[in-house]
Amino acid sequence: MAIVTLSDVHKVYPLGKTEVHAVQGVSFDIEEGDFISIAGPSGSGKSTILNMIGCIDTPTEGSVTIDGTVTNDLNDNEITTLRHKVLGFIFQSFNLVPVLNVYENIEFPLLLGKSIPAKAERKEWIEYIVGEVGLDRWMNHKPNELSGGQRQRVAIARALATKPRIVLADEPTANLDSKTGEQIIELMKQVNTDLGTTFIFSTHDHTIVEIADHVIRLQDGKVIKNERRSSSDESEAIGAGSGTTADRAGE
Amino acid sequence: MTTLKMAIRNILRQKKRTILLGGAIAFGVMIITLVGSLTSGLAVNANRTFTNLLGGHIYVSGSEVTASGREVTVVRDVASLEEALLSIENEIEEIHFRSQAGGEMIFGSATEPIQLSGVDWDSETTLRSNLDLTQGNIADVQLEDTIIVPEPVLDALGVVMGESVLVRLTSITGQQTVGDFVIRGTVADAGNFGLASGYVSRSYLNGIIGMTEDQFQRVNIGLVDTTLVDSVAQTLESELILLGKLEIVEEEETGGPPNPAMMMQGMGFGFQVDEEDRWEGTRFVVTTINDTMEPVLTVVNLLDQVALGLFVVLLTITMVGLLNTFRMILIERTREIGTIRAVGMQRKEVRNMFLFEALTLAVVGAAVGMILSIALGAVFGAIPFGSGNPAFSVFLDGDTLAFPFNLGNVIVTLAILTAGTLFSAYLPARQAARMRPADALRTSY
Ligand SMILES: Nc1ncnc2c1ncn2[C@@H]1O[C@H](COP(=O)(O)OP(=O)(O)O)[C@@H](O)[C@H]1O
Ligand SMILES: [Mg+2]
Repeated sequence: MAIVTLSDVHKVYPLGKTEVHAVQGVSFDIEEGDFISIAGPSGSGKSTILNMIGCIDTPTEGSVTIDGTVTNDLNDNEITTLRHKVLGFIFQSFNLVPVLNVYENIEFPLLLGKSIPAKAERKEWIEYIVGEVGLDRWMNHKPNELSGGQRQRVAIARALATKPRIVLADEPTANLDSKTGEQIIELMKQVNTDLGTTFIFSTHDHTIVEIADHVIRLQDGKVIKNERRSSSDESEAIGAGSGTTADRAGE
Repeated sequence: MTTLKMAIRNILRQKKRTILLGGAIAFGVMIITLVGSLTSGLAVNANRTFTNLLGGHIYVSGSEVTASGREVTVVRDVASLEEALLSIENEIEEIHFRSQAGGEMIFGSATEPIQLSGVDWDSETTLRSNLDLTQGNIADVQLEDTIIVPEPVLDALGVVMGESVLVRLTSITGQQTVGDFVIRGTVADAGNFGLASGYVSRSYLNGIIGMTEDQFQRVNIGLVDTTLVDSVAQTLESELILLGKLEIVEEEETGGPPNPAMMMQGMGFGFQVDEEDRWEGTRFVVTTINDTMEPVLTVVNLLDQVALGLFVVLLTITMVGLLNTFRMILIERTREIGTIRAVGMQRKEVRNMFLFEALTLAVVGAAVGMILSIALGAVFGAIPFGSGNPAFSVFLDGDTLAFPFNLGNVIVTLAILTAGTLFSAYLPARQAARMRPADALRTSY
């Protein structure tokens, strides 16, 4: 069963007296363990779709199903709990809590919710993920003492803290130089392999898209291509909404 | 604990702003705490001064009408008094029987008004140890004609220790008499509202004002528990009423509580009583320290209310500042709020985090304010006031002000501060909690 299902999702933003139809009837499935790229030019609706998958925004029409739960009907408390349990977030501009050090930033999500793990248990797990993102020596530093790449590594570790099944990353490399950006994507890929976490990231940089094993390409709020690549690098198009056959020319 | 940690770190994020706000809170709290402890110090000191001055907490005086129709202040019906006192037996710490007389001290051609308390030196051990003699030896009170007078009287008359003086007095039946005394001790003026009071032997005084050696005019009762003054006095009064021995004093007539000087003097001294108003045997009047304390407490309450008003005004200004600050914080941290909401913090937790931050600021400010007020109290409490204004010295402990810790005041202050803080931080906090995470994350402050 798919871990994420969007079916005929629309999103309309009010903009002054007019409306912006940011997402126009998008449907797709994401399988657990996928390393997925939502690709497309700026303004194509990537963030909007990621926000709806991340349950921080709701569709105007259509449904979003996360891990078997239709999110449309949940109240704010339930949706927040769902985010906490199932989802992890990585942001373009890192969004670390400036008053907390690296360890505390990663620990933060673990202190929310009803079942807070014991201190020793937290410590062991955080030390493991900090090792995984290669920041062992920066544990006690504040975010403003770190480079952009390092901050994004902290953000990845934070996203992994609650052992979510899905991690969402909206343009995680956009504020990084290309070399660092690639390293970040590679790190995400490595975590995806090591922990089996589903990663959904958006980007408008096609060199990064290459690493993904499933690419959903957007243009003007519609899916124009939905392709899954097998490990042997062969591409396989998946039936989706309009424009499935379009090529990359739109970028 | 993380919430506290985050609150403190967030507060320290904008140090200038924090110092300004916290400083304003600290200042307000300091003022109200300082004034509160000053006024309770004034009340405590005044109470102690009056207790010493009047020799107890409850005073019973008795008067009767002589065959010739004159009212004289003397307790001859000791049996009734003793019976009434049985009802409050367990509340009494000490009890003293005194005589009183007002008159003028004469030395050469100079005269000075003085109130004399006739005391039984053998039983009044508390008085003996409380009388802080500036000159002379307390042991000399064994000599029957010893008089202990305030320094200012001595100076005014130009008389020195060891010299004999005359005191012109009125006897209980209203006759003019004169007594011989020898000055064997002086005290700093106890400040009986400017009226000097001297201490003499009761039996010796009785002889001068027309009473027998063992008679007395009033009973001064010191209580075990000073908070029970009113209820114990009431018990005693109702007991005396039962015995038919209480004189009902019309309070309206005298226009307010009796002043200490009047109380020391006793009520009647030889006035003719109208035929129809006369009574048989001894009639008693019960007064208490609280009657005397009433004007002091009025002033103290007024001061407290002014300080409270000032505190509320200061607090209101501060709270407007707090409200604006938290609105600003809300804008500054919009994206942060979006982040922590995305990560899984519930609305209520976000709201509480903001409220907690405001409360932490208030509590730290209050703690600083209270420490400052204690420090200032210690400084002001060390300033010697000397014997400048005798009326003012009623409020002093020795020659300094007292600043006792007033728990009630502190609790009221903290309650008002907490309510004000929660009230002004609530709206921004709720606004933060209600922000939609997607919108919050999109902002680029
Ligand atoms: N809150 C909003 N209000 C109005 N229009 C919006 C809002 N968010 C996004 N849009 C519009 O929706 C479209 C898709 O935006 P977005 O999802 O951010 O695209 P991308 O992330 O691919 O750049 C754009 O035209 C954008 O201007
Ligand atoms: Mg975007």
